[in-house]
Amino acid sequence: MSDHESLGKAIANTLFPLADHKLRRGVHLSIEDVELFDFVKLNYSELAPFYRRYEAELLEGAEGYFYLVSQGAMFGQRQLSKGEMLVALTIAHLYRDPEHRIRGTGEISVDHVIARLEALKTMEDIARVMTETRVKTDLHPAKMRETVLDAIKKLAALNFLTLLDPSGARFRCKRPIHRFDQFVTQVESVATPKDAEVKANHETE
Amino acid sequence: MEKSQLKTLNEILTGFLASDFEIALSKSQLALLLLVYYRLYAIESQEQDVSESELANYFQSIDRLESKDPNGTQARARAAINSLHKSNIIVRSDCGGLSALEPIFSLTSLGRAIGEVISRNLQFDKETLKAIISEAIVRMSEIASKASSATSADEWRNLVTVPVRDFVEGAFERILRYQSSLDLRHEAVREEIFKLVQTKADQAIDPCVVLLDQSMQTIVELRDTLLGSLNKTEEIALDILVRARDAENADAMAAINGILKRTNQISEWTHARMQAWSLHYQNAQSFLRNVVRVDPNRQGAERLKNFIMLFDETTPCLSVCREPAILHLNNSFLIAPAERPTRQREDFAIGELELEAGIAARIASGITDRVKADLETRDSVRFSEILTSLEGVPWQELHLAAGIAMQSLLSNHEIAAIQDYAWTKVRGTAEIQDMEIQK
Repeated sequence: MSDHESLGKAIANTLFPLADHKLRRGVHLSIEDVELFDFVKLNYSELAPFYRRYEAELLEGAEGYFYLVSQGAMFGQRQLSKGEMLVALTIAHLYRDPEHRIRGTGEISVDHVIARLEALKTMEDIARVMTETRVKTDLHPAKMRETVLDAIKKLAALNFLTLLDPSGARFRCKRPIHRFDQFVTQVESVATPKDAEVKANHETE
Repeated sequence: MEKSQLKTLNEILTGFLASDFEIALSKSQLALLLLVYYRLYAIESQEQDVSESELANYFQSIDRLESKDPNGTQARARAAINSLHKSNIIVRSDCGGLSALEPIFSLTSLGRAIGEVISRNLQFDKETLKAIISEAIVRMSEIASKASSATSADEWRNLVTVPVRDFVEGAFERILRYQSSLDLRHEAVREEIFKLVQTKADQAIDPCVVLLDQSMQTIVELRDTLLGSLNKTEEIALDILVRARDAENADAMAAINGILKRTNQISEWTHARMQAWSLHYQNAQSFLRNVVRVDPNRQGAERLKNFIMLFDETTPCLSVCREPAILHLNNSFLIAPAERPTRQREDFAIGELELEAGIAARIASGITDRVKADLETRDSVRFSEILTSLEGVPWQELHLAAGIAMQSLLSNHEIAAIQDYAWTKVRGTAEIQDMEIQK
């Protein structure tokens, strides 16, 4: 079977539209989403060159997930907000904690996230990052909870998390959350923040 | 609650809080209690008491099991005996030293109750569960066959209702108790894996996997044992229920419905635990594989922690692919706007220009004729003179006619400016830039 026929077969698969739609919108396909993950895994050799035509790279995380990285203007890309990023890093840190994964049931709550955030940063720093301002600012606990919940919902939309509660108060992490570990490693391996950003976002693995 | 009852309860609580009674026992002290309970009650023994030296010996064997330093055993044994005594778990039964050379103790009712609860929770395993269920099925089958021959209300009560309540519900209680012990066991497994991971890092992986596999095997076996047996029990119970309904015996129906309710409870518990344990199994396996094995020294967690601590407005953020979403036009774009009735404003109506045959053209023609006639007698004519003489002509038509006439005169005659086209009054406040028309 020629390359074109293989690609045609992959695109003709009923799972292709959903997988394609999700990948183009930055959604990660995790091993937990068995059908879609298997579809991409089995058709990786056809789909990777296919997305390269759109100036995008189809990548696989070692922990079991696929995602698309746009390297041109055809798909475009967006950066997570500072608040979303900080919440995601905190969740990734909690995910590496045996207290939640082994002793607990793997379920994490918004209160766990806020408690860990407050343990690692001052309230003033959290407020400044969450509100994306350089000036000294206060963040009311209710507002802080709301901001964290919003971030959790956005991260769930990208398939980093599974919500157990529609409000985002309780959730479980999915494998793609490991992408933040990878991001931190890449940023730290590069000297200047600007280079780090470029490198981490292009992720030339 | 009535006032008098409340007063009594308050008095009891106040009296209790004022007393020095409390139960604070370590695991080894509870183990000593369990050992005493077994020696006195669980095995065929005639003894009712135990001496202080025997208690110390029992404690020594517990200490050995815990691999503690043998030098402190005596002191720990004394402390354990004192704690049990202070907690009203053992009581001196030698009349304060009058009837024996050394202190003799016996278990209080509290001590017996605690010993019974602990031993009951420990002794159930899969085999005993299988035995409980098998026995329940046999008894249910017996009851079912008796139900088929029961005719009177008394027979139904003696042969069906009472045995069901007495035995079968008791059996289900034992199953529920067994399930609780499994919950405790799973909690202990979780705790043990956590400790192993904390202390031994990557060396903990294999023992943790073994523990996880064992716990999963337990729940799978439990599911297989329980669900198969419960189906059989339910089948028999439904058979008895149909007979009880035919006999219109409400008591027997209620007793059987109680059994069915219990079987549902047990099967729901089994499904729920199966799901929860599987989830924990997957979670723990993934943690061991993706975190402990890859990063045994927890450098990744440390790196993340430092990154969060230093995170500020200049820190780069992760980028994700974002293809612009397809825009869907909503109905307001797709439906044509409503046509509203319009009407031309009458006061702004402008008459059609009638350059050839209209009134303005005729006036213009009159102006040019007049100019020609005047030029026959004179050398030049002022344009303002001609216009001033046309007093009866309507103003708008005169304005238009002046333009038309001017166009004609400019092409047929010589024109000279008067005082550099000075403005000259024609009618009222109306003015024109005057000119002299020559032959």
